[in-house]
Amino acid sequence: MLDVDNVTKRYGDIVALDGVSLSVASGEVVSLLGANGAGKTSLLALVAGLRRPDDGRIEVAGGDPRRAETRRGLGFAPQELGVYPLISVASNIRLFAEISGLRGEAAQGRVEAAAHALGLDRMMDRRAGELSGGERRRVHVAMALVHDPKLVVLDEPTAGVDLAARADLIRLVGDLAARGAAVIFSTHYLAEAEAVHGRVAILHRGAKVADSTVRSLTRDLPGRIELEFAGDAPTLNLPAGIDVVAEGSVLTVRTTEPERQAAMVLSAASEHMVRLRSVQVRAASLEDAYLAATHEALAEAVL
Amino acid sequence: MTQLVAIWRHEFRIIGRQLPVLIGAVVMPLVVMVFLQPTFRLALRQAGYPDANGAEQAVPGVAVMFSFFLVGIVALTFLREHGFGTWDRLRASAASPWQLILGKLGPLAITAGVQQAALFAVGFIGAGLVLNGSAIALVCVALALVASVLGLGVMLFSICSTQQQIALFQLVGTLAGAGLGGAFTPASLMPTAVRFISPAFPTYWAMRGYRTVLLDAGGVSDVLFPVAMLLGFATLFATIAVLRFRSEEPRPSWW
Repeated sequence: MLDVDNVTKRYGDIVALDGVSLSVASGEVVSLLGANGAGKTSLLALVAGLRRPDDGRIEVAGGDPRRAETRRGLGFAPQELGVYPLISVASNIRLFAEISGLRGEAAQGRVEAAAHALGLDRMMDRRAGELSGGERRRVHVAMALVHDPKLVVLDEPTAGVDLAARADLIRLVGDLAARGAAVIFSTHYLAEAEAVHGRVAILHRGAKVADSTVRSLTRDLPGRIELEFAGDAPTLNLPAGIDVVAEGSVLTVRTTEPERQAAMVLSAASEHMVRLRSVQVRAASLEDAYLAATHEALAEAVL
Repeated sequence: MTQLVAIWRHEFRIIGRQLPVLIGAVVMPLVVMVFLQPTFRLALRQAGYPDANGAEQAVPGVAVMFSFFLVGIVALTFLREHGFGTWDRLRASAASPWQLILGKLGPLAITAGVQQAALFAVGFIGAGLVLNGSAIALVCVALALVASVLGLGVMLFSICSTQQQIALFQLVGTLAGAGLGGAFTPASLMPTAVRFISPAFPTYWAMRGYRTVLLDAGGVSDVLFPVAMLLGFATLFATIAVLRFRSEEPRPSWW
């Protein structure tokens, strides 16, 4: 559904995107991660047809997103909140239903469905300007989804919304993919990327440094066994080659198999058991994968 | 076409929310018209129209001047999309750039046309204005005037990045254009130096067209030149707008 092929985008001397390739199939969710300025918004703007790449090619359902006809199948919610405050919630959503070619009862049905999906049913007649920030963000997303697009592009859809609304929006992203839409969304919240069970693409300084499932990204990364003691952490008698770091009262063992090696570590700590306050066994997380990918890219750039 | 109709409906909805502004754009000139008519009667009689009642200058004068107050509304119609954060999402919609522009300008063109029609209707019915020339010629001048107003508005949007800049250009431009273009004073009574620069303003050609119809009993052929000049201004403004306008350009501080 979305095919980004070796795309480069420059703003003057600044290279916002450097040879990025990415694809999103129907029914798939791709979470786009990266620090501020990593190129997430630039990439999504190119996908939405707002800008032209300097090099490379972008296709949405086989067409150029710069063409209005191609964008009929695209639903885009930019990072900046975009609603018309003077008119009602229903009118805001209906505008984009009609622009996509829906009319009459078909348009009304889609407006109601999008509003329902975003929990807006009871505020349809209220002016958008009267809503809270979180409610406006829901309207903002509904305007992108009302025409049932084949490709959904959401740039930080959960920015500035409360926890419940965030959970709803992330659940909605999953629902959209389950109904066959291709979804790409950017976020700073790694937990959201983990929650949607899709692929994760990590951008760093304009380059894509990782693109896989959470499981694949974390598979070869070390997890942690953390032991907290009363007083200073003791020195444990562990086999050579095991990565152990003692810092104050906490002793951290890094290993790719934390669950399997937890018993061995606890056995080694048995003589200090009376001082042991807590044990945490944690597999590698997306945060570890994110930091590893961006640090590796940084190290390569420095070298 | 579907997209165009959708945007038209939306723009009329927004215009409906700003109705007091538009009512003011018709009521204010009517008030000004009442005050100016006696003075214009004297001025026109002095300029060689012994039967003039003043409405022949007062009605088109305020119609021309206040039509240019819509220039700011045209520019703001585009700029407000940046303020609302909706510009990029409109550009990412199924509407083409031309559908977006025409969708926004269409309702404003109708609004400007209704303003002209309302002012002339009041002039004919209430101010004793007499149509000596061709009604079609009058309509041609009005349509060309509306085109130049829309062109100037779009140009203003392309060169201004804040609402305050637009307000300043609109106020100074409208007053200067109206004064130098002959909306306040019959061109024949203006100082020679001013008469020399008057043709540089679209207001001058609009006033010349209206006066040709109302005072000199002109027909369509008599207003072709002023109409062509107004359309020329519209084209010039639109060309500058196209050359200057960058749809990707952010307007971060629209206030």
